[in-house]
Amino acid sequence: MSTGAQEPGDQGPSTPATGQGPAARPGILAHLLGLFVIYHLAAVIIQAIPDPGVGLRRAAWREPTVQQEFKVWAEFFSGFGREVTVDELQGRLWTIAQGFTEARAAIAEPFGPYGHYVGVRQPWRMFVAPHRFPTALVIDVQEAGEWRVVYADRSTEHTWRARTFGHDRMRAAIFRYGWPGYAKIYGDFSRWIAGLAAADFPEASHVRVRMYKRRSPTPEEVREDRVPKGETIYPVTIALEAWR
Amino acid sequence: MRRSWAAWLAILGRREGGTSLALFRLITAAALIYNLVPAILRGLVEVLWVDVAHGGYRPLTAAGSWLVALLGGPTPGVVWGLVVVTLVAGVALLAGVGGRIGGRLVALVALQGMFAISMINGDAKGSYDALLCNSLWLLVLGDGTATLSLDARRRGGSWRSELLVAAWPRYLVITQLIAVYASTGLHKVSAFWLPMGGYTALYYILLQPTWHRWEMYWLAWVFPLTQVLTALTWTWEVSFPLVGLYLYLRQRPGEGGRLRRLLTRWDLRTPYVLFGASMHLMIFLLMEVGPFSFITLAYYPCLYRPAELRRAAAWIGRRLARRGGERPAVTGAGAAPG
Repeated sequence: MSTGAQEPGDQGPSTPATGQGPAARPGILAHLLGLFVIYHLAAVIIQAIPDPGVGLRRAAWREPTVQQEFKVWAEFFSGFGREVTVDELQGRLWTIAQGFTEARAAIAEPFGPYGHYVGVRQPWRMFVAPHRFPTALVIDVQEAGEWRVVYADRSTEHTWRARTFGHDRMRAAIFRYGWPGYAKIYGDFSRWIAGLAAADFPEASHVRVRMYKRRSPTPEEVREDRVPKGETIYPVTIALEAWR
Repeated sequence: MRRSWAAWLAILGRREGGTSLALFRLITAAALIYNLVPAILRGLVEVLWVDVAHGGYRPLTAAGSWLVALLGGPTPGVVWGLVVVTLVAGVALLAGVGGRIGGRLVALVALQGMFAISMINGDAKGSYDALLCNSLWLLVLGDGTATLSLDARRRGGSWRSELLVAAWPRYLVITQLIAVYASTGLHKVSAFWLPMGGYTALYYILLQPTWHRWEMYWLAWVFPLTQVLTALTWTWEVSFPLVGLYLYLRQRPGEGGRLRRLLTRWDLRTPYVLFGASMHLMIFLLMEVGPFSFITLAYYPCLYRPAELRRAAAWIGRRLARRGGERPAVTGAGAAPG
């Protein structure tokens, strides 16, 4: 791995290594490097194969966003002459996804330590699907028996601790807590918010943490000013006495 | 088999100027700093990465990082220690210090620090953490400090150097970029990315309060544009491996059949890079998704050989000089070091 001072030419891809002419026998290090780069390439490519196992949760599949996906796909497959129901499609996909996940895990196994210790991982599940029923975090405090909103995601009016909740890492966590399966952590998260509220609102007796879930409007609904109403899910009310 | 292996070793033996990898290093280091500083300034270090017993918002006893486990768990001392060391390593990486070995060690420290931090709280990590860690590992494998670095200045009195570096780490950078785009495209199995869902994915994604910077109902009035962009984005992502195929095939111009000649007739990188850069700029302007765009754009210079970057820089220099009514400072491809 010696270094030279000559700039590589533009015609070829790059210059050969200095002192390694066609007759030069590569040393043991060159062979080891050859093996390592093959291992690295295999690790990158195999780990980048989509992993359906991450979304294989029955509770998540029951969510309206996911159900809407199944409905569209079932209609598409039904267009080929035989009606495919949403239930049938789900059943088949579940089986296929399980098999695929197991096969993928088996071939990715040799690269587990490389990911665990070195950090070479390939989790590229980015914007897999639009969330048609997204949730937004809303926080209320109760003062003199009256509830008032102090924080709502992306609100320009209710902006308590918006710098904290608006950071992209916090957004990622809040996004997850709007899905089923996070009840325990959502409870911890709510208690942590209660601690902040107790300090920032000395007159407040309670804090309420909730998710506001609403179907995203279609372009027609927006243009006709018919934005759907949402609903509150996962409300957690906490007395602030314990923090005082 | 023996000939194939010899050809493989010959590829790994190639050397070239260090500019492409140096630009990769510079942008990656800046992205690493950008990844940590806002979290520090917003007081989120202990909230996100420290166990609930010490002030965090959730229990983190089963931390996903071997290093954090080795250090005794996500306590304030451990987490702050990792954040500070990683940040210092990021600054050293940006400056380009340490030489051929030390520069790699700096990248390794930055990698292990960032990897450990990002694995503590699985709910608060993003794909950009993984991509950043991959970038840092590639900087451990390749010599990113040969040029555009304090090392180069100390060695030869100039920020730029003509020192040659191994070319294979740049090939791995390209492979990583292709893996990211192709994989994320193949993950997009939602009907809404495809004709059966009406190409509505981008419209609905941009309405999600989790990711957008502000309410974007105005998209309803440019809905057809979002449909076109949905189709283009998905196609661009899943077809990105064509860039790799082009780079491979063009090594022997004039050889091969009609398909090979067709694929190498135009520089496929230009449209893919232009679309990608525009897409990342739009993501950055419209969405709050952390430093993902920044980290990804670090990979783009590596799609080009150092000599190609030098020619591009000379061309831009000439255009700017002409616009300024001056004689160009750089007049030829060979005028500046790689």
